[in-house]
Amino acid sequence: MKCLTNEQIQRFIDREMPSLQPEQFQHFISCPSCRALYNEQKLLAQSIKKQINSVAKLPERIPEFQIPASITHTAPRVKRFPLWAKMAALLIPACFVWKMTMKPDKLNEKEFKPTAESIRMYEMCNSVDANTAFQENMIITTVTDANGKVVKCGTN
Amino acid sequence: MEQFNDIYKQHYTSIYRLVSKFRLNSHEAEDIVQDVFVKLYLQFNSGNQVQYPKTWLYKVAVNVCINTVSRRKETESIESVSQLEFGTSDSLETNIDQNEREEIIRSALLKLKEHERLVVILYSEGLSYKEIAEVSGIKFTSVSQNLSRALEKLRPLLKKHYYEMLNQ
Repeated sequence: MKCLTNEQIQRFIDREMPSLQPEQFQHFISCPSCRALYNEQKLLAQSIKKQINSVAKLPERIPEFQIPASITHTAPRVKRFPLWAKMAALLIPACFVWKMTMKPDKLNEKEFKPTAESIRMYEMCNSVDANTAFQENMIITTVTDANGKVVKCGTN
Repeated sequence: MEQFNDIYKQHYTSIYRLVSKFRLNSHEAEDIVQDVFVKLYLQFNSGNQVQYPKTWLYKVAVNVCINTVSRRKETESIESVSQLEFGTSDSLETNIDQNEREEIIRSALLKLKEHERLVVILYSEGLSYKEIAEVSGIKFTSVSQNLSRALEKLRPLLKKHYYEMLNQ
């Protein structure tokens, strides 16, 4: 078993070591150098404590606690908000008011001007019911010549 | 505020004693102690709870003292004091008056690293390792290491008084 270190002995002196291990304690009891170090270090610590405390001064009396005038006369602290919070507080209601005052038709409705082609497409799409059988729908058959002119037109 | 007054009366002397261990004159010490308690008063006034007033006061006092001392930037030479420390003449040693002895102790403390000095000062105040760790900001596990190292460094510097005690 190795001897205890200065640090371990210091903790032992100050009772800051939770507990020595049984083998450490056995060693401490049986080792004269560890016990000598313990005694010497204990005396050193006491001596240095005493010497440092001899430097310290004590107050002649405990003065009454005076609250500084700067604390007593200051106005109550107003909670200051950051710049972004101030900007947000201005902009959010402004946007809301602007939106409310604008005419809704100008904002939401676009002018509806369907072209003839789009009307024809719409009607054609609506004329065919996707749920009915294909055979039931009308099939228009057109025959054209080489120039693309309609020669014959018929339905089923 | 009754709680504050109790704390003030209970801890004024110990804080004053702690502050006086730093290189400060009596006026500075009084100002610092007042300053520390004003800070505590403000904490109470703003409704903040101080869970461990003793540790809180020590922590604030130590920080204020370190700031004050470092701002002053002491330039005193410790050479002259070193000669006194290691002097072998008995007559010289017996003639050291209180002020010179204090100067030796303060100079010995100055030779330590700042965190070691702080640990030793707090240790001399009778604080536990846990309290020392909280006040100084050093890890709890490093307190004993720093303390034993600092005591070893102080041993030759304060050997005269140490041997006086050994012979008792």
